[in-house]
Amino acid sequence: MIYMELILEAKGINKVFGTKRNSYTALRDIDLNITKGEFVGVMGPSGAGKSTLLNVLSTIEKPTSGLLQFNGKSLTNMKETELTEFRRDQMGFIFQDYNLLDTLTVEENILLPLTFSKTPQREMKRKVHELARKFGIEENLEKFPYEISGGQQQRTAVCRAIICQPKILFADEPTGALDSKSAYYLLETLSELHKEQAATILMVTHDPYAASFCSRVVFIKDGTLFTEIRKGEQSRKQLFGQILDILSSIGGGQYDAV
Amino acid sequence: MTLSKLARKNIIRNIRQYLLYLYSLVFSTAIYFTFVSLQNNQQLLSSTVTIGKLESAFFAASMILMIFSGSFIWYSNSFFTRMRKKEVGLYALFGMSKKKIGLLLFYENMIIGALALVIGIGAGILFSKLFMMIIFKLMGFSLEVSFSVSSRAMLQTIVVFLIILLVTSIHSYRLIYRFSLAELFKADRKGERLAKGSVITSILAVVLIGVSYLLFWNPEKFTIIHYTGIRFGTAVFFLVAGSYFFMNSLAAYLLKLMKRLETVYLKGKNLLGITNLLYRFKGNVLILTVISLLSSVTLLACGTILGFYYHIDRVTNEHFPYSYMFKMKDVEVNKEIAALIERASENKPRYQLNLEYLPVEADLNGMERVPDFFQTMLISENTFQKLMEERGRPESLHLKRNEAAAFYDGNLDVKSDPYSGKQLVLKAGQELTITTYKPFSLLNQGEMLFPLVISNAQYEELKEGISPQYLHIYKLKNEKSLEKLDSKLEKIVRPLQFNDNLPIYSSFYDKYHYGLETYGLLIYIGSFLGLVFMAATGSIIYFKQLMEAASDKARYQTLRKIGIPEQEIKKTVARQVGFVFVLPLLLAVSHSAMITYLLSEFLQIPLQVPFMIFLGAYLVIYLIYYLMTTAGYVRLIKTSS
Repeated sequence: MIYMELILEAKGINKVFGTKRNSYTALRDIDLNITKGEFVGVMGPSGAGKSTLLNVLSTIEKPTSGLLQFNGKSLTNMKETELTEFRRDQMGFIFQDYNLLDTLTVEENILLPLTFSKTPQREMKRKVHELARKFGIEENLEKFPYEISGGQQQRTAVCRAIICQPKILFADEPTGALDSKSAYYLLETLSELHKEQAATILMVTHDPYAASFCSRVVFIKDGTLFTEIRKGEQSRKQLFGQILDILSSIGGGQYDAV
Repeated sequence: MTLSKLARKNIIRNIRQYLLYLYSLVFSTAIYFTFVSLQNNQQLLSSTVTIGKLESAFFAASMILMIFSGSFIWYSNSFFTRMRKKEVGLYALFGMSKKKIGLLLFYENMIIGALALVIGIGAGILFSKLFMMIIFKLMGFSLEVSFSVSSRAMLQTIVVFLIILLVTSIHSYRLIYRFSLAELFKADRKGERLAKGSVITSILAVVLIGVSYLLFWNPEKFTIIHYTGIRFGTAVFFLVAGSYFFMNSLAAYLLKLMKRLETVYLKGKNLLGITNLLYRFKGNVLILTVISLLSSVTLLACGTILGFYYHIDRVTNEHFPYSYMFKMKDVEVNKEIAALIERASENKPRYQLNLEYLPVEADLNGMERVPDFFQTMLISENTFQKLMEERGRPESLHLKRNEAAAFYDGNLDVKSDPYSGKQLVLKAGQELTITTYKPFSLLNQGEMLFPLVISNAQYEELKEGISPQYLHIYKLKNEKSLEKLDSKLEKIVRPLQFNDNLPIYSSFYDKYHYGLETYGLLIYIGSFLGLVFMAATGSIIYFKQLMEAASDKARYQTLRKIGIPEQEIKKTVARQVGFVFVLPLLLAVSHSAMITYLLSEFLQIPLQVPFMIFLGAYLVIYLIYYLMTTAGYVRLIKTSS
């Protein structure tokens, strides 16, 4: 087996919400390693802790206990200000509702993260145009988010997320608000990023179709790791079937709006 | 749970949200009550002569206060209810009837209003004693301020504020009827489009403001409009219009210009700040214009009044060079007055003089500034010289035959010379030409006298036909503290004022204290209104910014999520809010500094220092509002929704 560079390493992660008397355990003893170039999907029923897991792994929320290492560096003891900077430089984010700023044009939205680093302007512009061309939104650069379609908005968000060349990309239900055609286009885009540039992506989704684009799918149930499957040499269709099987064994009745 | 109970619980639980609204209510009430209780204070009424004359000013000021408090409370109330749209929507969703929701809001507003009224009046009672002490000091009274609560003032305040409260409560009640359920849940207006800012209107703004300054300035060789009233009217109109265009276009244009400078624009904080400002600007133009004009008026008025007050000493000395100047018809009365004055001035008068003059009748048709009933009096050059030597500022005139010298007559336009070259014809036939004008008062002003100095030879000639008269002049060392003497003299002179034929009696002490009282009161009124305006403008910006913060919350959460550091977000907010605060301030300082400067040139009273004092105070208060707003903004966007 080839040596795999470990990017994100989580060990014994617990996350408890609420006070002592009235507490709720969202994550229990989660161990998860993500290696460079992986496209990991996280699936599970509503309330299983998918989003909490993403928030903890992306340092937006602190785990109650457990170890979190990024590139061999511990994140659990970092200060909030350090973490923000760390997030900015090493991580990219895509959200279900795009989270674009409606006061900024598409171009400005994309280069926003760069403006807080010390990138020269010409470099900024070049990067934006390059990405926009690649994601098919070059004609829309001067427009405002509300003037373009949802799919275009989400692709803008992807551009924004990767313009700083993050080590890892977090996507929280990125296709949740898209129609099937736009969703397919977006997943293709992510998959291309993964294949061509060996980008590391962690995507939370409850859509089996979206998950079938991943190289590995992790299932969680009631805050614990249930099982995981790898695509390996299978086709996407085969993986899709496998995912459906596992989901039905977890308890399909709990699925909302697949 | 009954409706009133729910209302009370709402207030107690949401006290933080209510606090700001409560504060503006309490503030308005306290200010209004303090002002009205001053107006009704018996001690003040009985110990001043001027208050009667300033009654209209007092009345106008209390009306302005009332209107202002009303609109201020209205504004805070609508801000406050809009913040709670969602909560109201929730009640409706749970099946509370519209009427009940309306009543709930009505009760809440009334409860809060009543609370504010009690606190406000309480604070007002404490403050009014302090303010009374200040005003007595300003007016130069040495009275002990008694602690009294005017029931009339209390009643007036209660009535006025209950009316305001009732109106705003009805407005709150109507909230649920004004919006549909969907609208209540929708976020605040999305459609605030980017401000445009055209070049033409930007230029227009600069031109209008420039022309307006020019009209105020009215330089000698460049008079555009001759009639003063129309000139000022036009100038004010241009200033208002120019300020509006400044806010509407120029500011937006400048922001857009910054946007084009990519080196500046593409720095994180600027990109966010500038776009946010542009996005929100349209909704702010009118408010910022009003605020800049209000601030201008406040700064100008308060600075000027303070300037007058500080220069009462100098101005009174200029207009009333002698402690006493009198000539009664009855010689015995003259002697009695003289004796009293001499007995009172233990340190002996600095000088005393009986000024000889010839009362003449003359045709003054050429002189606009001297009404016909003024007594023209001719004084010889010798007498003039002697008087001026006594005053310690020797002057010589070298007048020829048929020439005369005129003097400053109390004109507000201090620098002008309205007399040189003018002619007058004496009843005996001589024609006098005024060849010399001296810019100081020869006699005390305000006694309807028109003194002229003529050559010694001509004076002797004229003296043969007219019997000379004597004006008694006293200059005392302690002229500012002659309270007892002055009231004694007043008792003698007062009854003679009308049945004695044209008596002359002028007292420095009287005029000095009249000035102190008048300007002391004006300062009081002025600074009161200034305080209210300032607090109101600051609060309005505060409300408006917080409202924007509330609806922009999601945007800031996005920034945080994609990893923009908290520190940077705070800085962006600080700059953005700073811009909104600085813009009206810039205009206000420019306007008021310009007009104050021109006014001080015109009146020859240095207003710069009082203006700076006031500006300093203004800046400090403004700064506090700025810090409060920024802190509030940051707090609001931090809390998760």
